[in-house]
Amino acid sequence: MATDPSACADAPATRPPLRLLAVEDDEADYRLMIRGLARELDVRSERVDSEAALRAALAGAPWDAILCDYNLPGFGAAQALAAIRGAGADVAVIVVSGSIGEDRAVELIRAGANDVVSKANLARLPQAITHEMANAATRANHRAAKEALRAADDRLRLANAQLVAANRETEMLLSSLSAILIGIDAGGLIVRWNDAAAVAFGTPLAEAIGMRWDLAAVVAAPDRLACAIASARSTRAGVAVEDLRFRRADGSDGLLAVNVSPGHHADGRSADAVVILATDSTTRRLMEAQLAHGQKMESVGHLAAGVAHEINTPIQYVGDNLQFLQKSFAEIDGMLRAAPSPATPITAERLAYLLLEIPTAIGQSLEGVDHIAAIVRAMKDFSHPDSDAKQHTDLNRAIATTLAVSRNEYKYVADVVTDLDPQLPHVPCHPGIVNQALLNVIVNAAHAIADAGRGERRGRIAISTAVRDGMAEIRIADDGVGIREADKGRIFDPFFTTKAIGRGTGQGLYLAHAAIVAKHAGTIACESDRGVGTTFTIRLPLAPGDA
Amino acid sequence: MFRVLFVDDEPQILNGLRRMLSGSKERWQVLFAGSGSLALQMMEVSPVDVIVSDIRMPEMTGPQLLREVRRLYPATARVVLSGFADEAMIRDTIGVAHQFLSKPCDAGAIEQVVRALAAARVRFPVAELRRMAGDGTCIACAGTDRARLLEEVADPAATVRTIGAIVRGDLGMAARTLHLVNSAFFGISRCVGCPEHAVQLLGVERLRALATSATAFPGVRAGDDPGFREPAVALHAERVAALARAIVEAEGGSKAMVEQARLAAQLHDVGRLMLAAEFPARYRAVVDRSSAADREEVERGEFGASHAEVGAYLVSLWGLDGEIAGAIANHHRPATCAAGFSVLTALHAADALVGEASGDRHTALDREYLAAIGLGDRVAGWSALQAAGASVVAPPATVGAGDDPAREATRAAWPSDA
Repeated sequence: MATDPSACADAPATRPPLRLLAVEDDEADYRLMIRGLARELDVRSERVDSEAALRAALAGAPWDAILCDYNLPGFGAAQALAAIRGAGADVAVIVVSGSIGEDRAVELIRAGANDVVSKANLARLPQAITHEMANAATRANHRAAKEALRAADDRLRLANAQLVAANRETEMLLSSLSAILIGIDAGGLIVRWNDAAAVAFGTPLAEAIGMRWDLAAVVAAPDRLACAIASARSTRAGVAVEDLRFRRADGSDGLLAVNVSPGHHADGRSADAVVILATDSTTRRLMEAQLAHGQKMESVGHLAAGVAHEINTPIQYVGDNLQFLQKSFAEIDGMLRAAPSPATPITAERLAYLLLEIPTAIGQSLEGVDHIAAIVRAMKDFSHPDSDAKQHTDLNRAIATTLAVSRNEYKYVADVVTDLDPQLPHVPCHPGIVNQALLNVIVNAAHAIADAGRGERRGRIAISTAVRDGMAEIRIADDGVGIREADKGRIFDPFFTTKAIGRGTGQGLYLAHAAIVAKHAGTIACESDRGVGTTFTIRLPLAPGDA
Repeated sequence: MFRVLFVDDEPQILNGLRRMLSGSKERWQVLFAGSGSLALQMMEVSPVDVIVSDIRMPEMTGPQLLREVRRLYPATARVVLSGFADEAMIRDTIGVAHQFLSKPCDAGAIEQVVRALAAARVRFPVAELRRMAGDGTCIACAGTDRARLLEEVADPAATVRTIGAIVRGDLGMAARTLHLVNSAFFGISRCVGCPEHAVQLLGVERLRALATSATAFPGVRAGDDPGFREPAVALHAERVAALARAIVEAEGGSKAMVEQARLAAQLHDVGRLMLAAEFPARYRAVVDRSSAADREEVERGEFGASHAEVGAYLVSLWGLDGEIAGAIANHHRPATCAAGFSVLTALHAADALVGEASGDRHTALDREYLAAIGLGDRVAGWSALQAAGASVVAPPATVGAGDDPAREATRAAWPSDA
């Protein structure tokens, strides 16, 4: 249908021959007419003389123009026109007739003829054909243009609908995002401000958009956030800001975890805008802190019960001994003051007993007090206050301290043998954290031995220290039940435990791992054979000069 | 001679105790063993009257040792002396230990405990009943009540109130609960006379653990007469306790005395429960051939001691205050220890007045005794207290007494002096 507008009818030389269909019953008239045309146009033509032939010709190849005689035997120009237009072809139809009146001519034009040429004036025919062909071409162009326009319009409509839907979806996503999302353009003005942002900072969307974000009004350390935004802009990389204290809309304080990302255009080119994604991390932070504190309290509480028992025993016998000494002194005092007489209540036998027992009672009481003092010292050493800086720590002493405070955990089930390297250099570490990790491993060893259920045969916990591969190495080996093959990969996972409720929370080894690996860049590894025992190997980096 | 055996794996503890008890005026033989197996060997040569053992010892633990002692020598009083605070291990001692002493324990207190046990033994010379009381399983609770308790504690919605309602409805359960809070098992150790208060002090979680441990609340043994364990017994004890409390308060007694009177009243019939459980046929025969006036005499003739004396001996084994044991022992014949107004006076009067009102006259009010201590004119006032309080102490709602014909029948089986 679409006709190339450059191939105009007035450039016949470049065009293929015109294909003409003549509806004409008189062969002579047809020849005469074609001959006349051929003088001016390059023509290929065919002649039909019945309606059936006409229809067959129309169904075949396309025609550039149809010349139609007015008077045909069996059917006239009117029927021919109806057949042509009925076939739906917009082809130039020119009726060639004898002399017909003006009225008839108008009627034919109405019926779909493009022109009427008198047989008497055939010289006009080439021009009429050329003209009508140009008209048809124009009409075709117009139709094509209209069609193209409609198609473009449809596409636009669809694209628009898709865009609206996509936009609505984006808006919905952004507003249902529980995280705060803020977009800031190159000029520092707010271009995105989702519902979470509106709720968190108490500024509605309408007020926020187009404003410069006043950081100082919402966060306690605006510099940190401003630096992060600047850094995201200049380095074109995301920047995270943790624990940014902020003031909520209700006036309460909270902590934000913020990610500042540089903006990108759809084609990947960078934009100067930044996207800020933030979440209120207050609750999570609180829970993390409580969890860590809870674990510490649990082990402290557990230790306290054990230590209380350790201290109870010496206090009991020291108290009994003091009671005895008090009574003994009263008896001896009575003997010394009273004049010697048969009524003296103290017998020689009793006196001999007292003289023998008093020194041992004093000696054993002093031992008891020493024992109590040692436990209290170990407890103090053990619960080393956490400090930010690492301290050069004697790991051998840390082990001795941890063993002293946890004695109650293992003394009924196992003997502890130590082989501590006296040459072990002091290691830079956080002693409180390392003690806690050692305690968790030692308590596990005691539990593993108790679980082996060996009855009266005691287990054995062997602890050794050494310098190996430039690191300080602590090995804690027990001959307890061992770890099941299936559990080996999970022992350092948080909350993984095989212990009964109340005996383990699944945090001990996880925290030991975190303490050694994350806090000290050390390693903790475990080898275990079911039914044979388990060995934990902890390695801590030495001070640079010692390695 | 009265023999006491201390068992501890820590030799220094034994040394301290030996010295502390040396030169004592008491004529006891004090023995020491460093392990459970040694203690059992020593007892095999010659049994002891009291064994005081640590809990946590290598090889044989305290609970294991005491369980063995209960099996072989039920009459031996079993005391725990421990600084250990593990609840599960403490639960293991319930039912096998009569008393719980916490380390560090005042040296004088240990001596005092042994002295009280020696005195109780002298007062109660019937070896057969000492074995019965020492074994302790005769203060079991009714199988149905135990089942209800288990069902209740299995419910996550259980509260001290719902559990308390079950415990106060069973005399055996009430007695055991009071035993646990009046001795230092869970570090509570205070004079508490109300079973519901005891339940509250122990707490739901601990009761849950206790109820399911089987040793704390043993169910009734096969062949026992369930008639003696029905709510009527518990209800009587509760009513007497309420009135005894009201009487002490009316007489201006201290809060401590109020609590002692309630405790004595709650436990005053524990001896009946024990005799009926241990010797069902013989005890029924005793009830059949005796009257309120000569009940105690007939009991003594049959068993060598009255139910009051049996109950008093049990609470002495538990280490309850001597005044409570004295009140229980003499609640039928207060005149034997006439002094001023005491826990005994309150218990005797309350028992008699509640009995009169409910038609269960096994204690006759001793007006001569009351006149002798100058309180003869108080009876009318106390009766009024009884009348006012009777409606207050209703049977526990959950028991549903009266709506179950079977229960009614067994209730009627409770021997009445009326």
